[in-house]
Amino acid sequence: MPRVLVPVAIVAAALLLPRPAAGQLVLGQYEDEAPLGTWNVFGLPSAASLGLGGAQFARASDPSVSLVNPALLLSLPRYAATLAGSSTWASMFKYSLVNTGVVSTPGDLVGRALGLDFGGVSLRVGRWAVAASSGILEYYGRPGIIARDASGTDTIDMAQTGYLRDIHVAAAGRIGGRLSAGLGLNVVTGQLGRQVVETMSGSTGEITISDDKEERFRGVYLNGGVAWEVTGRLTAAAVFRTPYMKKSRAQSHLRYQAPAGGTDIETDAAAVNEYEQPWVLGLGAAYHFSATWTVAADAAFFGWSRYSVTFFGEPLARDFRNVVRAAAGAEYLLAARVFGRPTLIPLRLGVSYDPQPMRAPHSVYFWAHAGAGLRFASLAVDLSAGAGCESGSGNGLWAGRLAVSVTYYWDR
Amino acid sequence: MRRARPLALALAVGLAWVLLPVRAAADETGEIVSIDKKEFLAHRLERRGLDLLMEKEGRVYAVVSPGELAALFAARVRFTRVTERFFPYDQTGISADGGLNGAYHSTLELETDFRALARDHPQLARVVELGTSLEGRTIYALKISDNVSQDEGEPAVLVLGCHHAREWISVEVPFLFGRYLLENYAADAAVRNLVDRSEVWIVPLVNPDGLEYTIHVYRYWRKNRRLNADGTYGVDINRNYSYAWGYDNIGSSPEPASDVFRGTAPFSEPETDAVRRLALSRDFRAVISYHSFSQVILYPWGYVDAPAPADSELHAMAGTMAGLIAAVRGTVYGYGRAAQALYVTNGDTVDWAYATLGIPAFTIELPPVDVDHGGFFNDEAAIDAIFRENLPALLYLAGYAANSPAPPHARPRDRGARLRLPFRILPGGRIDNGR
Repeated sequence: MPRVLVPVAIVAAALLLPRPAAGQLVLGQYEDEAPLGTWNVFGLPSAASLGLGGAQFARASDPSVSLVNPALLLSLPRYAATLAGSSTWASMFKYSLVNTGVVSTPGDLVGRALGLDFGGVSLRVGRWAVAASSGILEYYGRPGIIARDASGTDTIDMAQTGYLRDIHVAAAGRIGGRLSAGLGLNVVTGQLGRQVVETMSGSTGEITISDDKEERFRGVYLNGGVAWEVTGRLTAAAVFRTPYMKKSRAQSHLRYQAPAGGTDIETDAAAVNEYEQPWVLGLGAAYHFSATWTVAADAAFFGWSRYSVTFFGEPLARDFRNVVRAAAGAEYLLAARVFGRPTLIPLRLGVSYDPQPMRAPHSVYFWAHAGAGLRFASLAVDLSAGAGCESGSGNGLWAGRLAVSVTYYWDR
Repeated sequence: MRRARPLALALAVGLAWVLLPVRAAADETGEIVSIDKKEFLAHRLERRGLDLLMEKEGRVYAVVSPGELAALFAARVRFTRVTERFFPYDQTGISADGGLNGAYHSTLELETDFRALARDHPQLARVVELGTSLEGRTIYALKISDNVSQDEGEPAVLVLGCHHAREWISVEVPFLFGRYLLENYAADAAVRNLVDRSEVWIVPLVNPDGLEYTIHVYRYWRKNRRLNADGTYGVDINRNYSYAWGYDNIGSSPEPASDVFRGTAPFSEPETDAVRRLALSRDFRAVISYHSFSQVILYPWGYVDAPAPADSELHAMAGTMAGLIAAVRGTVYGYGRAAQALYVTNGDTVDWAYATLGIPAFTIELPPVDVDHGGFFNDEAAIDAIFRENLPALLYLAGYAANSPAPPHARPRDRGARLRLPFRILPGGRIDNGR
């Protein structure tokens, strides 16, 4: 393939391919609209930043940084294009009708999500930089349930799937010698579908009860940030995401069918649901101890106390509190020769503290991350893995994530 | 003489047609019934002083009071209640329409509609907060009476609904009854008489947490939302009343996972405690607790298959109500002792009310008749018809409560063995309360 077509192909793939793959990811104790893994979704950390615990407010590895701090686009190579995918495992105990009174399980259920979840490009020209990307920010899937009674004649079949996709464009400029700022526009779309089908034996035949709810999301918000090169070693950053209304066109269809009695009862509803997403404000810093050692840390405030949901015309109770998520990590660059070429091998370790917003249970995830990569002249491959354990729900939940990203860049 | 009867009928009907505009006639009284002309003549109904409206296509139309309706039933007259043909029920103004559960009420919608009724009828209706559910939802009652803000010590009737979360129709019938009383107070003398002389307490939603769970998570949930010690959810709050609580493990269950788990103690649930406090605070003379499904009217005892002290009176009252319901559009409701007619239950509402308050108490299992015809589902379009067919029975029992003397203060502790109800049912369902 001619070298010039490589970035074109990556750009095309980056913009067109990201979509959820088959599979399910499960977290726990949350409501139907809870993103899998955590409520505290801000941007989409790539494998390189995940290796640092997710810290990316003040340190850029690839164009995914534009989703949190577009100002850092100016620190990327002149051209960069990234494709990223991830697989996430998580356990959950209470969700929907599972372990809330209808279907009981002896322990946590485990789900998995596997997806090509980010593609983005960036271009830097002089004092300016722009970026465009597409990514899956949130997954709403839950483990499917097929429960049978002892006789095997009555069954409950439950499934939930969904995602939120972000189409993002951003621009950044250098304000002074050490200060840069950037602003991004995000258009989110997505869907959430939930089906419960119950079959039971009637006096003369089978009875089917089905409950389908479908939502199609849409919303717009801004994100932005500033980056300040305090010294040659220290970069400080401040970031924000505006609150926004995630709206959905929602439909519900409830049906009772008993063919033996000629009974077919349907209840339909349609509405525009609203999920008031919170402010996010963040501070970050990155410090280069040397050419080989870098540390980075972030703190992000999520204003969940004003979170509200209007669902089919009625407010739903969500007793949330504001939370601060924190992340920190360190990177060491190891110089080596791979395939006979001089190569840098970044080695990363990170941790994060991720409190969930609901007041009860008071749930917190503690994460540990590790990552590595290969950095060639114009290609970087990064891999990271993280494991999180939850405290507070009493259900011993855990989560894990494996992420990989490929970035093609050149600086001519 | 035989020739004179049709002539008299024709004159009576003609006179009524001229003198009694249909709307005015019905506004001032209760229900409109149609009777086959031959049946009318055979039973000599022209002598009963009914308000005759018209004769059309071989049927005679008349306006009758609830008492006259009961008398028609007692006389085995076959009639059809047709009030709604003259006054199609106005569905507008109910906020429930259009929500996730369609035309059925959610907790919020019920509160909204209750407050709207109280606002529109400030002299007659007041929203009363009985308590708070486990998840913090308010359990509401609508008190209906003249001078509603005053405590006049009038006899009262209690109409309950939705002990069991999935029984959506059991919210609607009590609610619509309250609305019917308020909207017909000014124009309907019978309603006015009832409201002026008594208190009608409507509690359509005893189990708001459970109802919300059926709307949002699982349609067939039954119990409340108690998180039990073993991690299961729910207490069957119609097994949580104190009388004969836990009498055996058939009529209720000690197992938290069971659909009929009775709880850890009598009145352990805030929902039943709210009903208890209300029931003991007023001078109730009758109770109806609506459930679904089965189309059956149940009276004590439920905890044991044995007759209650006033079994024959209760049987007659239930039979009268079944007759009134059947007369509307032919829907057959069975009736009998709960333990016999449906199944054994202990710790339920009506056993407790009967034994503790000494008043007639009935569970009415609303349509459909079985799972093949909908189970806990009713078509939204059927809500009004189900209410309409239950209205005469409701008016009958409310009328009984308004007219009955205070019950004896006996509070039997041993299955109500010495209980004696302060009334007697005469053949045909008429009440003899000694007055």
